[in-house]
Amino acid sequence: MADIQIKNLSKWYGEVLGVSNITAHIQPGVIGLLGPNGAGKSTLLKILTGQLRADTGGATIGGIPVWNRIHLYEIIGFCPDMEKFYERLTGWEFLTYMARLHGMSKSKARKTAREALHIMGLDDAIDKRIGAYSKGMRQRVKFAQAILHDPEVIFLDEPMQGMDPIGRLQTAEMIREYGRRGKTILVSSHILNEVEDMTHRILVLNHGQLLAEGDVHEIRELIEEQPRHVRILCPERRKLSNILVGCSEVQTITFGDDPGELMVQTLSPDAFYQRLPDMVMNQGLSIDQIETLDDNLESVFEYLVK
Amino acid sequence: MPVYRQTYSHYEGSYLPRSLAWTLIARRGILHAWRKKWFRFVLIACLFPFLVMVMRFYLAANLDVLNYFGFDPGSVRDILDIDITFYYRFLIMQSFACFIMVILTGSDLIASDRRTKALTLYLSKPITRLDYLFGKASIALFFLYLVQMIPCLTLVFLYAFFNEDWGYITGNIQLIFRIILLSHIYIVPLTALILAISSMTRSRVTATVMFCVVFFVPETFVNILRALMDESWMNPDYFTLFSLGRILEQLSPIIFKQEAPFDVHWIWYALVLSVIVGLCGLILNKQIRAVDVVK
Repeated sequence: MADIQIKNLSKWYGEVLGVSNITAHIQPGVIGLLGPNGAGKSTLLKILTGQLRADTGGATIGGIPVWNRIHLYEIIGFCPDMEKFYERLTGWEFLTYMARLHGMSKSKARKTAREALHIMGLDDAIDKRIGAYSKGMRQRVKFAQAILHDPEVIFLDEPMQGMDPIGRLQTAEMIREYGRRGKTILVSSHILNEVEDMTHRILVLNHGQLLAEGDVHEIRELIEEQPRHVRILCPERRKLSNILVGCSEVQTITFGDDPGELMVQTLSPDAFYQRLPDMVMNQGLSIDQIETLDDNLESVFEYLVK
Repeated sequence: MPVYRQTYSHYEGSYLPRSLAWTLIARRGILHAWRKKWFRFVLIACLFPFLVMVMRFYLAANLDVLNYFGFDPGSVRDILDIDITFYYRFLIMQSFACFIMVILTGSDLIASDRRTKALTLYLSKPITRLDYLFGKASIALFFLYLVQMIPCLTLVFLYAFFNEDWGYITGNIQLIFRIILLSHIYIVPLTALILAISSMTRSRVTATVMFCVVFFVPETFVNILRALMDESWMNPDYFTLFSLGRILEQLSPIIFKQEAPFDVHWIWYALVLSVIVGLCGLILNKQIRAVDVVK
């Protein structure tokens, strides 16, 4: 098992900021790397895969500094954000070549490449040129080259872009399984639902700075200035709203479009949830459903980045 | 079986020695070029003079054969005579093939990796930037050796073989060194230049145009300046130091103890050539690294 330690890491491209003073400790498991375009995600991934040298600070994988350590790259798998490949090579030739670059013998590389294509569901396309692959198939081949040497640490830059729904499900499950097996997997993605399907642990970057690190729900708890949106379905919503008006934890109440729907904003969700049952019971009301709307990755991301 | 259960066991076999990592890149590139029909055609065309010379060597060693075709062997003996300058002329003739080959094999070597962002794939693998660069350079070097140095050395051996005179080789060790040196005077700078240019663009066409511009434009200016310059003020031959083509033209005859075309000491040309190769190295050092587009 290998953890990633990032300490005061900064990278500038001339006068343009890449990443600034990032400090984080990434434990084995699946971690989502989130941020809008230009946030510094790719820069961070390139530094962690030893392709770029940090200007200040540094990063280690399993205690070994990442810059200029060739042998460390044997335990790293990287799936870059690229669309074009060696169009003339078949998927099998490409993966064999990649396995050979990892130092495998010719026979082992060929066998591993075949297995990788099988795992990614590309048996039928084994001898097909990559130029004839669909975008989703290319994505699978790219993913396969990142995992074919069974790395300890896997960096995935937009790994599911262009994949079909089944491919996405399979890949997400595979990533989760790798996480369960103790691998460290950092997944960069624009699609928040995808990340949420794989993990609740995230790193959020914006303008090159680390905005948050940790569990989505824990991070949400820390965003105190943003009221929590609670959706309540109650057959007698007018009565319920009258009660909630007197509740000090409630900021605003609005009626939703659906029958019985009541939207409540609160800055103290825990206290609100504690008081709500008593208030409802005392008035003899009933509640069909209650849910917190913005205790999810999308909301956390929006609050942090906006 | 669910897809997540299908996985790998860690590779326990032997690894390729790290020092040989560049050979994988070189082999891949050579095979890639060889797969193209048109490339094979051009390569054979570049080797056509060599095939003609093999015939000539055979005839020079077997003049009696000419009797079958109704020629008088004595009348062509002088034409077929082979001396040290023959090899020099052959190398100069093949330098044109080098020029063609370096463009065909070199212009897309790094440009294609920049275009497809494959550089990031290479650099995240357990290979060094030097492995990558040496592997890529080896592709161009292989084909340049194949059209210039190897045919010329083969001719030396064929001369000995056809004449059954192996003492010709031991007696002409200096000739072999000269052939190797002159070939490298052409091959190394051309390879360094095309790689540097290829690393600066994402397009094969742009790289080809840039290479031709770097090679021919200074030559044209040098020719104009030499024609316009008053010799009483300074030696106009000094302008030839700014043209790669003229530098090669000056250094080549010196290696074969022939008369040099320009009135400037060869050491200056050697120095400028070293500077050009060094500059190419600096460009490659700057260009062959991961880049990130900051939006």
